[in-house]
Amino acid sequence: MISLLIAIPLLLAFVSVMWKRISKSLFFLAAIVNLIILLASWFPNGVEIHAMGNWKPPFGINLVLDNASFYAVLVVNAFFFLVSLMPKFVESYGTSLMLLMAAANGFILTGDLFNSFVFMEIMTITAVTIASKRDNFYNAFKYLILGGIAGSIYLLATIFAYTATGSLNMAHVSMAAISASSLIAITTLYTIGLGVEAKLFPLNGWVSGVYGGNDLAPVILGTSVSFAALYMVGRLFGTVFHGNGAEVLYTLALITIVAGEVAALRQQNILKAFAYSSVAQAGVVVAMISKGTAKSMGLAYFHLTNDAVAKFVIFLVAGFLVYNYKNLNGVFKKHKILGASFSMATFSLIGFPLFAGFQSKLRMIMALFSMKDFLFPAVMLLATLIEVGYVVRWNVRLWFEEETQEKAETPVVASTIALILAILLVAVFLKPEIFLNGAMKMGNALADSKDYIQGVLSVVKGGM
Amino acid sequence: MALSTLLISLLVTSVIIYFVSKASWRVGAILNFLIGIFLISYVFALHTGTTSDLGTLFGQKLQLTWTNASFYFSAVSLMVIVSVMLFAIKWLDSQKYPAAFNMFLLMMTAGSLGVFMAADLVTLYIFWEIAVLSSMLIVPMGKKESRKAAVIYAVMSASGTYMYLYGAFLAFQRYGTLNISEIAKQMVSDPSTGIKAAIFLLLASAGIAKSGIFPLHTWLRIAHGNAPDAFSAVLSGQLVKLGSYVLMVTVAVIPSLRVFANIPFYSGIPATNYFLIALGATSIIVGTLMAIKQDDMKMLIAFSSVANGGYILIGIGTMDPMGFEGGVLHVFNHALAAAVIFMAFASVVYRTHTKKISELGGLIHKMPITFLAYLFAIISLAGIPPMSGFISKWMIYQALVRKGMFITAFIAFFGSIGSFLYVFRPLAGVFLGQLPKKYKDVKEVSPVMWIPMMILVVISLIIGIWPFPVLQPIESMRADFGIAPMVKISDPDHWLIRGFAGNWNPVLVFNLFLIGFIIAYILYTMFPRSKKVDLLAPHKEEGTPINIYTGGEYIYTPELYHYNTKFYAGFERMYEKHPSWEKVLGMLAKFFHDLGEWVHGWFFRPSPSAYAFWVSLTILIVFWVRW
Repeated sequence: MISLLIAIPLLLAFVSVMWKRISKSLFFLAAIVNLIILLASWFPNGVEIHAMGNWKPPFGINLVLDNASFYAVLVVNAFFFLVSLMPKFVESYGTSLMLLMAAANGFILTGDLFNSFVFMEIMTITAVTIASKRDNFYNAFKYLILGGIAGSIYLLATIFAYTATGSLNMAHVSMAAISASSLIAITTLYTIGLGVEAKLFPLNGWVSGVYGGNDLAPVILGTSVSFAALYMVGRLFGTVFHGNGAEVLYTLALITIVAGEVAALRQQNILKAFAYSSVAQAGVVVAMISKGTAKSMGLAYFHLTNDAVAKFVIFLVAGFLVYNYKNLNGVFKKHKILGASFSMATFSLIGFPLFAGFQSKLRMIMALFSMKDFLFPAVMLLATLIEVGYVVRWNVRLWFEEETQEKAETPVVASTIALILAILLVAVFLKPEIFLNGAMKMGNALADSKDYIQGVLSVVKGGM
Repeated sequence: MALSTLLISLLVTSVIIYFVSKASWRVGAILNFLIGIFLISYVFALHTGTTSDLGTLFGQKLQLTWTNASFYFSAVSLMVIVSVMLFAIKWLDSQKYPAAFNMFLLMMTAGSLGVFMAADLVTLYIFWEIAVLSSMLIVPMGKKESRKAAVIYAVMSASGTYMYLYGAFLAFQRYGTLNISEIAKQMVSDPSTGIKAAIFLLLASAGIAKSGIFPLHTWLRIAHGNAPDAFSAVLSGQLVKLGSYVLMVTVAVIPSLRVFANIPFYSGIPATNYFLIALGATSIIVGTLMAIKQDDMKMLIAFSSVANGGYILIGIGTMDPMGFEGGVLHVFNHALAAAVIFMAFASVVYRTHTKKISELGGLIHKMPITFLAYLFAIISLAGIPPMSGFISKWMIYQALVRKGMFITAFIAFFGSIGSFLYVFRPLAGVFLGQLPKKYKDVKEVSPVMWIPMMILVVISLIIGIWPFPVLQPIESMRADFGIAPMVKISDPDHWLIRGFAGNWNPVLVFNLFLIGFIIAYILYTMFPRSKKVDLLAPHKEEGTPINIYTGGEYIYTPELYHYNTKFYAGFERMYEKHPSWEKVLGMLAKFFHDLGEWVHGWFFRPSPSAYAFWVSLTILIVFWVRW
């Protein structure tokens, strides 16, 4: 059944090429079917695999659904579903979005290193087409080049892994004894290959241009795609390579946090400012993943979920504002609901109490202190301090400055979605279990490579 | 009603208040006021020791508990807040965002009460942030500069708060608990002085930032000066007291004298406390000197809040029974005085639309009640008997002299004399002198606005005559913290406050003042009255008063000759070229901006080929490091 998650959007993407007119409806259909499939197979609590063509692992390509990949796929598809509710927003990008959805699902579900490379390439290419919306060609081109470099390095890492172990199956590679020097080469190359998508410094030059270039790209790339990429960081470094190379990730991530926040501070364009903030948050998540325990990884994905929900609202609102108003001063006086959702999302980003971000940030700091890591909390709090500066500045400007322009039409669906998500953020503050349980299950599944290996290599189900 | 239910329902009610206020802001404001009255009665009915659970975080219970300290600080806060709520019923008609104001004011009240009730460090943090967030959203409702003020306020407050948070978790990591009294117990037996001092100073920094103590004081000028006028009363009268509370928690609830007994610095005061006292003393100097310079009346009192925060910190920091009581009593006195002063200014601005002292004058004829309120409030603020402000300062001096802290005592005296100077400037410039022609139709504000001021003034006067009702809870607090005095300090049976160098009989002093006043009044009625002369220059249509001789010269800029321009020019000239701490902090902000610029320029802006270069360089460096 899980192969349908990839097959349906892929199939409908091809159909939509021929039937351009209904591509938006097809996208909605794909999203909702995927969501139903996921709800039907709610947290497997074990490892379910789908061996393509009945080739028993480790020989063929297999898809793996365990708690980790389930939670990631759920979050990713939920965001695609939300985007599909806004046809105005999708415009003629239905086909690209469906392809992106198929690629992201495949990237998460696959249990094969080479296959994950293929899906990553598809993901990058479709993301580039989405990034080029509103004639944002040069930035999309930059992304294409960087994505291409990252892809080839990822491929190189996969080749190294294959040479060292003779297998491409993640479970198989995970249990193989790899010599220390090859392991260094493999994990370093994977760090770079994934680092571009995971927005690690200094590989994240593309982010502001792509997120800041149009209204669709940040909403989907900043939430779904970055969740998929960061899932893979956890899968590779947590499950497959048992935390080898974590120090490099940790160091790069800490630099990413500071670099992202200071770059956001000076930014005058609202989309770009929050693009940099999403760079910094990715840094927080990667640093947390690099700590390697089940708890730290669970909290990392809890934080990532909160951040993605908040960023979805922020980019949705900011995208609407940027392309409807020349001057953003005081626009929220005309769009109270959009404004309230935006403010709540940004406060959640800082981690103010009453919003979801508080729950994840405080738990992360607490967990880090009990691991006796005193540096990362300090960096995180410094970053938050800078974040307070620009978040409050944007809020004050958008709410209180003198307004100058005529009111643009309020997007009803978008503001409803933004408001619901903002209320969800408050709900998560009151009841963190909404996200925390799933994220913790994900963390456990990622940290437990024994279970993963056993699950993949001993059970065979399904067939095409 | 359990404490947690109270706070949560207050937060929910605040949202309801918003929608009520959308329909009619006046109904919302009245509801707010009624809720405030209810809260006061609720606070007085609570028994100490009441606790209630808020939830758990990682197996750590988050708890609220009602102590003598919570009672004292909540009662003082509510007195200020409720007065402003009453004041706002009329004042809000001059504001642009009355509905949001009502909502955030109530939310801030809930946050502040939560801070005073918190039994553990994280609960304190949660409610602290709620109070900061909601007050931060009221600040930009003022004039144009207030937008920038909100950002500066948020960042400065956050810098203290995050240091506090770091300290809280450092304590958690070491002692395995977040409960404040548990931490206090464990700190006494902890052998590592370094970590204890780090925790102590990190926790205190939240209080330092919030109560406007020296290195983090600059936000007071801009935030208190530019916030909506009536809200400045809450900011200065109530919100900075959250900082004093946190300072008191770190110094007294954590028994700093015992915890740091191994690092005595001077006269039995440990180095950590002495460091705080030094910061407090610096705040007095900075606050006083800067207040004297201000032409903006709100900024003037904002700087006076810096100085008074210093008094509170010095008093509490000594941990001397007399000093502690004085410091805590000063919380009450400054809260009332600052609230009245800012409300009086709000009334003046409400009628005249300016807060520049040099543009005002002679309002005593038009707004006599506001003038009286201001007059009594500054008497209290400057620490002149018979108002209550004198008693707390007297107690702090007693402690300083007894401890032999002569430099600090000198600075405290200096600040007190300086306060005569700066409170006189608005008195002379706003209320006395001549009335500019454009204000000839100004009327006294409505009773809804002057009644809250007068109530606070009367309370302050009564406490000045009979301070024992306020000293009583302070003494129970002091007993809770185990600070035992050698003599009984407050002695209502003999109408005395007993100090180390002499006693103070407030009733006697009041009677002496009363007699003096009566004699003066008799003399005033016996002698002929002064006559009013109109000196308004006819050559300027708006008619700025020029009580100067022009010697046949035509004056183009009469404002510059007005006696209120550069009121203390001679004094100010002595420290004209003082180094500016605001500039230093501005440089720090600029540093982060420039860093961002640099990162952007080098890593984020370049062309694809540069990106490829960074990718290859990263690979090389990582390989080099790992091999």
